[in-house]
Amino acid sequence: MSESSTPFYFQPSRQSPVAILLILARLIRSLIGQFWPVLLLLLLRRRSANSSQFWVWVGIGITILSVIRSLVTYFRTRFYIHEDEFILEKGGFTRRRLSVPLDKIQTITFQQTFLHRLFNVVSVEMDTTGAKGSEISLTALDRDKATALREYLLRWKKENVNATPTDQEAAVDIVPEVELLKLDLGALLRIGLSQNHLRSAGILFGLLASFAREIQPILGKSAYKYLEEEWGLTFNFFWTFALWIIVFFLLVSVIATLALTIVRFYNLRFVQTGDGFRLEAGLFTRREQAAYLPKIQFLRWSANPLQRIWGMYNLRFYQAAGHQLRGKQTLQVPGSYPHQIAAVQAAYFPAHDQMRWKWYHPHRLYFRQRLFILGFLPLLGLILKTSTDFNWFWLIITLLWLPATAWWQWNLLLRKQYGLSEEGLWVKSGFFTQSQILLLWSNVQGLEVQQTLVEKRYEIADLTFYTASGEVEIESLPLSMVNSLRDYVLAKIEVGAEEVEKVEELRS
Amino acid sequence: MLLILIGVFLSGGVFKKQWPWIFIFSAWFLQALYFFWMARKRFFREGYAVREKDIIHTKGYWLRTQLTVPYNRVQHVEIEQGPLARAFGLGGISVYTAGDSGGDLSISGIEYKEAERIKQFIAQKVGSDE
Repeated sequence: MSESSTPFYFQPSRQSPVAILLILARLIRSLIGQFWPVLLLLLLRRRSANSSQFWVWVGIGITILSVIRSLVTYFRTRFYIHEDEFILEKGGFTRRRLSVPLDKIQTITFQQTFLHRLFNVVSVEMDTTGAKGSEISLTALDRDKATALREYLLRWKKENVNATPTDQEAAVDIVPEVELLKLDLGALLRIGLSQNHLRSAGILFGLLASFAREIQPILGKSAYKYLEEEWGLTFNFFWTFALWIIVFFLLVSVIATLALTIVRFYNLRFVQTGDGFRLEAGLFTRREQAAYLPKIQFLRWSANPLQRIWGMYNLRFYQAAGHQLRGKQTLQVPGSYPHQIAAVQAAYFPAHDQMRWKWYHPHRLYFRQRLFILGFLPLLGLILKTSTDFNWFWLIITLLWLPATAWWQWNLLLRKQYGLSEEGLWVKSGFFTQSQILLLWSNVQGLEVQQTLVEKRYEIADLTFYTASGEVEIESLPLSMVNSLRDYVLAKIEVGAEEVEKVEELRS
Repeated sequence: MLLILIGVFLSGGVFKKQWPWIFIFSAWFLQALYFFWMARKRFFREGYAVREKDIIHTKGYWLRTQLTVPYNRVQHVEIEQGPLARAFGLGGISVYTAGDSGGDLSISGIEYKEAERIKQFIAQKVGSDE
């Protein structure tokens, strides 16, 4: 160690003393979670002086035990780095010692609940590759210490994974962080407003409709009849009533999504670090997620019409992760502007804008197949419905259905474009919500060519690219093209590895 | 299959009338026929190729798919053998890639020795990559 004072992480150190409080809080919460029926019973019961005294003593006993327990947990939890291993000692009576080689540590996540933020501490979680239960988690660590630890681990990884033992230490100075995006309240409101409210209103309405069916047996007649008879609603009045209900649901869902958006993305900070990106957000629970460049599998950004007016995009990173953390690893940055998207693209896919892209449209079969499934099949049902029990409303829908879906699907076909280049794939799609995907060939894990019987007749095929975090599909392209594209990508992956091999051989 | 059919016929008589039975059994029979026919079709469509740098698996009749997994993306390889397959000396092989991807390849109903050979081959390829 060249430094004069060794950093805290090389000697066994404890968490922040706040951890005692947090462990206690967690213990009590889990106790209440398990025994709440008993507590409820005790509260509701008519109490006699004698037994209530007994219960008070029991309560005090439990409290003392939990305090002791959290003290023990705190004092017996120690962590340090020793010979390139992260060591965590824990356990109350049986001592457990967990050691994880530093190069197995995949991601480091900080999280802050409300209590954490009161004391300016963070909980640290480290995801490791390999078996379950080898995850390291610390309840509370001072923010500065946590940051220092993370910086050390990242620096270590950079130095050792690249396998360059020479004196590179000067070069691996931490690259200054660049703040790419900070959302203020106005932007948050816009994000909340531009969410898909029709969908959430639909879900809400569906829930309530099923609820109405549930209470039908209670009222003894159908909810509709109930409205008609008890409330004296005539048919026309019912429709105005329905309109009001829809407006009401829209309003409720707008407010609900607004609130959820603010809670989730409050004070969002999106930062570019030396080797990736970091996202901090949240009102009550503040999450800090990191995306390391080598782990990003592909990028996707999308915008619905309202978001397009405001020039905002919803950006997603798809990252590779262990099996337990699957859901946590797609990172979402709502309200990104083209400037941020460009920065992310440049980091993930350097020089993508200088590359020559060849653009292709899917075959018309794509349109025909979708029109058949979404247009004609429902139309049959609609015709059946109108012819059996006639209703002006359904007649209008039946008449409009086919033109509307045809128009929609045709526009989808026109918008769908696949861009191919030497290094990667660029997909543009969507009519209402337009989205784009950028994928590097080197992230492809496997390829699948698919053909339905109809597609076979037209010599058309679909191609799916599997990555370590989901898949990207391109549809309805000529079979010959799909085959040569597959061969190209395979060659790209396979040759890439061979070149690395050769370099490795030369080095040793 | 036929034995079961006859057995059910003999022990039948839940329905008073005869026609529902005929209807049910003919539907069942047709379905069984369809399954056999499909199994045959699918059998002739299925195939695999172990190449120098990747492995290919083709299958499906209605939806024809061809999955290719390069060896340098393989995480681990597994050999499976059920009791029925053991009786016939058959086995299966699964090739797993990273992440939760659907890009895992699995071939079943090949000779056990062949599966082992493929496994050895891939393991050696994967090993030499690193």
